[in-house]
Amino acid sequence: MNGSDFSPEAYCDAVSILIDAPASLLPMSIIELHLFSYLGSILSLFQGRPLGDLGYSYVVTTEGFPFSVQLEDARALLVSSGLILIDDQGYMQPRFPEIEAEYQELLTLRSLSERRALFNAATQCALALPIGSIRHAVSQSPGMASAIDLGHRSDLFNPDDVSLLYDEYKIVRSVLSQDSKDILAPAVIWLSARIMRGEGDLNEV
Amino acid sequence: MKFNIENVQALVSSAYLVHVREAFGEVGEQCILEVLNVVKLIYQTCPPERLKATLTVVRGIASTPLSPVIEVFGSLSSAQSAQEVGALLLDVKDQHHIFIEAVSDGSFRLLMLAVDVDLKSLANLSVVYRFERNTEQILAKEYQGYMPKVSSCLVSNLAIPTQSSLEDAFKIYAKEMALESQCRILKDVWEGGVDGPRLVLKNKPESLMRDSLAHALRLLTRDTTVRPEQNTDETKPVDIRVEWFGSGASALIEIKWLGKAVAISRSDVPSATYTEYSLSRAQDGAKQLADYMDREVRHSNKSAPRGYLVVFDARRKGLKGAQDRLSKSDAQHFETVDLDFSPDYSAHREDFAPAIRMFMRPRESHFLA
Repeated sequence: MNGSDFSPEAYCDAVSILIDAPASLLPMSIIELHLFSYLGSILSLFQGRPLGDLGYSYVVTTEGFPFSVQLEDARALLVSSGLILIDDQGYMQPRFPEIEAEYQELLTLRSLSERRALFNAATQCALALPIGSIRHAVSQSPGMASAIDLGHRSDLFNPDDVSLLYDEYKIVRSVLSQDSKDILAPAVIWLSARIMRGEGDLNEV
Repeated sequence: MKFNIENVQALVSSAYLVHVREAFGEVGEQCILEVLNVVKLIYQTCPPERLKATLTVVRGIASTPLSPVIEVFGSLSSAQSAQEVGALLLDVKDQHHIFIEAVSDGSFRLLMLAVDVDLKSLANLSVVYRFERNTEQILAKEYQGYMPKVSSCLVSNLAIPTQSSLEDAFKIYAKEMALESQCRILKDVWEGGVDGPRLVLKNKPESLMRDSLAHALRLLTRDTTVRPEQNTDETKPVDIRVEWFGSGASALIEIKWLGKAVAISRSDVPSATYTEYSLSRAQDGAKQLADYMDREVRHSNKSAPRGYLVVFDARRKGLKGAQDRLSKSDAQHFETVDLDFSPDYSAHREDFAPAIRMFMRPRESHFLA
């Protein structure tokens, strides 16, 4: 790991995703961690948080996955420190209660607790929708879709893509009641719209 | 679907998360999430196909471990984990209605009844999930709605088997989706519709087959990207490209269909003409794929992809046209007839998998008596 690139935010988000993931989503694969992290970052934008608050960046890989180098460094650190266990198939299982204690320690150092709800909502989306559908929906979202079509590695969250994401979220928000605290339901509807877009069937998302 | 207000409104109307939150507030949202998680965990041990009657999973809004909401219906037993619940359900022999309540200490209360109960009364005090005859409902106070399915041919959104190998995903697709054309994309390939005789395919059915298989592989495989590709000519035959994260592994899938398809739109000519493909078409597909993979390896620094030929087999013995009626033996003649490839690339190429044949059954109700 390159120490100069270490992102406390990425480390904190990796820990919170693994702590809060519903038991049915564990063990988690590496790319699922990056997917939930990227989705949580989109939800952060939807909540009006500045992109700069994220603290780390993403690319779409040539294979079409959202990926963050800083998050991967954080994940590797968690594995090497024994807070994440890796099973025979390479999937991750958080080690309780040690990882929970680590998170509580992080909260005393930084004001990161507000982020937790966003990444928690990202994993909760996978209770309402199959993870394969979420992966597909995210792959069709602004920034991802064009890069995947070209088979290019490229940066995510460029200004035009962020603007398109805001536009889509405005549409979702406009048809929901004014329950501004609710992060999950708008997220699931945003994903569902993308899934339906691929299937063309209103009754089956 | 366009990303516009009308279409999103349609989604919101069936969005049970929204309705449960409206019914019970934030507590309701936590309860529905707990219910979904529990159901997923139960199905990891006892798939919904194994259930003999109904399954109802509830989370009481204000219940305690000492006063679960389902205790009014009968004498309860307990389990400590969802896995234990799943194991118990596997042993249920009779067609009982099964009720599970997740209580606040993380344990479960179980009840089996010969006669069903009024779910609406249960929903006054709890978030209710009901699985019944391959449908799933959510109830919360006055709200009662069906969970929209991601795929009409899968029993439950909450029990999608994700496969690490493409071969296993193909097996599930062949049995659950292709065999009876149950996938909502694939059902459109038949002349006369999926509820017709299923003897003749529509004109150029390959794009529907590709989209159906790609949709299924996205659901059934883990950590993959699945990309349908446009065939520009015979030198680039690949229909679907699958890539796995991290390993650099990839798969190229070429799709061929066998049987009879309408060649020209029926409105253009007084009598239909047909395109008919037999084993030689599959053999051609294998050769095209092998040639393409040779070129792909030469032009790429990545590790060699593995090639898969998927054959949708809609052959019917003695079929003359869409209006024919066949005997059962003729209609199903090819169901168990494997394809004999010569040369068989899978026998001497490690990057070429054995061909996967997916038979597409005709409708039995249209057979000659």
